[in-house]
Amino acid sequence: VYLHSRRRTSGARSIGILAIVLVMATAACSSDEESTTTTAGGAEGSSTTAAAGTTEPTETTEPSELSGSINVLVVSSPSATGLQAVAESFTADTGVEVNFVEVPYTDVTSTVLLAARAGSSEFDVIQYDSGFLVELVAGGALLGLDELIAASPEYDIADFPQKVQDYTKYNGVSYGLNLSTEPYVLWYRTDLFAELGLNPPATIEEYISNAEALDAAGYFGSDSGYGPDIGGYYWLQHLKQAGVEFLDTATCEFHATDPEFVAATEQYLSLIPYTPPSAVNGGGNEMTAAFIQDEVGQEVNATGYYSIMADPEQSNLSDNFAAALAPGEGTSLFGWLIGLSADTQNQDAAWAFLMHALDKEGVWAMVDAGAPPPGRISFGEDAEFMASAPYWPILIDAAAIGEGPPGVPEFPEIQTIMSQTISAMAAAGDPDVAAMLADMQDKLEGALEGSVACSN
Amino acid sequence: MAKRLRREGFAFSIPAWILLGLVVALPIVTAVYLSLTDLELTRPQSGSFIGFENYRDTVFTSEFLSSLMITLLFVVGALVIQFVLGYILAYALAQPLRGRMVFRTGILVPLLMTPIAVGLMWRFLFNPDLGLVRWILEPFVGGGERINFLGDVWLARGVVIGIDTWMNTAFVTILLLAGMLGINDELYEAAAIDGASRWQTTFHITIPLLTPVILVVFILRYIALFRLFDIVFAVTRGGPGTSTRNLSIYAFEEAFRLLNVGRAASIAIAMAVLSIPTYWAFSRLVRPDV
Repeated sequence: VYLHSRRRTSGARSIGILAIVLVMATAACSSDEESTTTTAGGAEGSSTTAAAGTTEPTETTEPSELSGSINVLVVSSPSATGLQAVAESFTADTGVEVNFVEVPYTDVTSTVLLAARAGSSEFDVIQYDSGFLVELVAGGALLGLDELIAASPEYDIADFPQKVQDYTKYNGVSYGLNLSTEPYVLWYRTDLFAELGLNPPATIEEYISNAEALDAAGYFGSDSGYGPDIGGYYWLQHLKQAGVEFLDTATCEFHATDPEFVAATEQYLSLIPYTPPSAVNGGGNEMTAAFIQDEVGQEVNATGYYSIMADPEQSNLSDNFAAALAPGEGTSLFGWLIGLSADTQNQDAAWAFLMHALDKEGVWAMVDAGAPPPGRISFGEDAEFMASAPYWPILIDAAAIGEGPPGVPEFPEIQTIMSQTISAMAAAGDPDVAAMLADMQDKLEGALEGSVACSN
Repeated sequence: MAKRLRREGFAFSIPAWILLGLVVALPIVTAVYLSLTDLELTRPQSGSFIGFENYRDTVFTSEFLSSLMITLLFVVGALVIQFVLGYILAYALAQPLRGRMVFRTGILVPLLMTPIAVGLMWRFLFNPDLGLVRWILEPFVGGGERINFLGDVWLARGVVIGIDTWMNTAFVTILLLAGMLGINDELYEAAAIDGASRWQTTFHITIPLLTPVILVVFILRYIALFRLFDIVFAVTRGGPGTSTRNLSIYAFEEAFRLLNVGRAASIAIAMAVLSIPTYWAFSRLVRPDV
């Protein structure tokens, strides 16, 4: 896609940005990403001040009044495919040309924040993982949407569970619309469970017991990612299930050396013998690959993978699987969000596109195009949809109790440290968990040293 | 006359100096400057001059030292293997064997592939559940056990060195072969008449005459291995833990995951500074008057 630069940046700024790009290129020669389907659930970033943009008050704009073009940054995913599918009808209705710029998942924050630092209007609409929210806001890249949402009754924000509304916010301001809602839930093999007389586990202990039974029957009894890249997310998920708090956002204190934290970590590591080795090295993609290969009996993973699991062209599972709430006390809530760039020069058209794609009526075209649906409560009233998405009630229930990542700009650094630690423990075979956690605690405290924002 | 020629020569070289300044000096100067600032992409107000704080917090740390050791492990491990294999292959290809042209062309194939694609290909091959390596090893391992090459610290390091060797041994081979073919046959004939053994011929004729080529290949491979990124990123992402996190991956983490441009720049500058003694030593060795 050829991008028009609709606002000229000053020469000095351009040189500054060029310099930053050159340094980043010096630091690492490439950042290509695998061409695997991406589901929301990862995060990056760091730092402090929340320099949020604010919505300029607008009146509702008629489609005939819109003009020009908009640039939409997307990440390869079924959600992006859905956006691209509805763009044609938007252009037909409004005459606004929609250009899509696809970037790898790992490049979203650096691409958007470099553009924001340049004051560039390179992107009008930005698709991002909910885990990126705080750092994008801190970097001044996103526009606050509350006034636009309030002025758009057709969007009907009340149609989302409160937790789903909350995880689009930072410091009480909404910076994104739900593009997909992907809490972590239990996925299990109905055929194996029936054959072995197992029930969906309500507690972690029952999950482990199931894992042992599945292992004895020749299947992997568990499936979780311990990899150095995003293993921290799955570890955090286990901690949530175990009811263990890892960071007190009010005091910025970590609890990695608490006995409960150590015990929950040892419990999580005890599941490795029941886990496919490829998942031990990786994350959600590797877990899903093992699950759809008919090798795994149960796993806790994001609902965004449902479309792959249910696709007979990709999956060996057929319809032999189902969802349940993750065992234990809590779960993680992630998902794709989509927002407006703080530097957009065509805000009306950009917002009109979001409404075209995501308002209560328009969203069905996205879903029909294969996009994972955002967590609208009203979807449950549609019999046809419910027949195609039997996991939906579980998603809504999980979303209602789910928690996003802690709202600190340093979360990506925290996540990186945690991922590397759990990966090192998994590789060690018989690790000294307490010592490694003490070392991690030191690193985590260092990451939050000087942080001005520990709570949203 | 000579003065005028020098002036004209300088005048003609001005465009080249300007170009060199733009594409080489400007980025380096900028990187040095950024390494002295607290620039973070998530803090719009950042970018202040902070002196050597980044070096204190990022370079003079155990994390950096650990990554440096891993970098040197990759450099030494891969260089040794690639030179031994490259020499053997070059020696074989220098012989009048049938089909050697096909083989000479064939070994270049890995070299022509994009490193990131090579990394992804090998990552899939080493996938302990679905990869080809698992199926090849299954008869030897037995008991349904799956060797997790990428989940073991030393196996993962070995895989990185192995993949780089698979990809770049051809480079060493071709240059050594070119050097071997450039050695005058009369020297070998004279050695044969004098009754020299194959080993004596190798150590007293071939290797001494190949020394300039060996040094050039060595320094080129050293540079490439010191800043090795693509293969590690695609195959292990620096894991398990941080066991394959070399300096390039460390800098990448700072720049693209933590978005801390100042600290990433300090790592990049430190990498360059650390390489200077090696480059200097080898550039002296390849000077014709040494």
